[in-house]
Amino acid sequence: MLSLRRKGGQFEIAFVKEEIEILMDLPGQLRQIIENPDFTREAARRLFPLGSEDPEIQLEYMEVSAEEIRTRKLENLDGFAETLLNPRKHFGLRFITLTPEQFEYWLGFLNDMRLLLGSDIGVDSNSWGNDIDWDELEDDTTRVYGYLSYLQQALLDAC
Amino acid sequence: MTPHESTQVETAEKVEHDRLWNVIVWDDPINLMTYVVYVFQKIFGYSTQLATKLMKEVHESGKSLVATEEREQAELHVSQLHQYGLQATMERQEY
Repeated sequence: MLSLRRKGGQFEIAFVKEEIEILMDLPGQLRQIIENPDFTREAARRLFPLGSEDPEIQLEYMEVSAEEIRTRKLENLDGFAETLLNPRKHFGLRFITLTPEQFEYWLGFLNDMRLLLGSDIGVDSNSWGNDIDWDELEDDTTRVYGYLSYLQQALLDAC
Repeated sequence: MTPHESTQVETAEKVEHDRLWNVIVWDDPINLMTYVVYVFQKIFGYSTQLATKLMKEVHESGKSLVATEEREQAELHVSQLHQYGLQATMERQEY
């Protein structure tokens, strides 16, 4: 991400082309686990955590909340993916403008995607992603996780 | 069951029904601190100062009691916290 600035109530983000390609590859990965969660995976348990330690309360909670949680996550995902389709092109850069509603989609999607990747790579330190050491990012998944952390932080700083 | 016993049962059920529920947010190694503050403000309408205080409590103590309310409202808030990707549970408030 080269820049992020507020324009009125909207947010304009400038990317290089390769970043857009990386971002476009992500929603499919998340959709798979949201639509068919495999609860033997930490990532699925992290995306759909327990609402109560009491099994009876948990069951009742899931009856009223499960579909709403899944729907919200898919709305974020679809809203994020849609904004990537037609970026404004200028001198080799790609500009994406987010409305406040789309900004929410991005924050939610980036967080869920980080939960997925962070669970898969076993993020267990308590840095909360605020002290990323880019030199320590070794594999592709870890690099994408670090990049999404940076992007989400930039969005939060802009709002 | 005598009328007296019946009244006692109804009273006990009402007391149980009226008990408040705690909404607890748990520490998490993935969520950004600023994101947690953002979510607390969005869901509960807390000030930046209070939201930051609760976030720090989660971070330093492992969990924070972020609301105490009737069951239906607690369920709604836990669901919203889950929609945002935070780890949250609800439990009956102790007497």
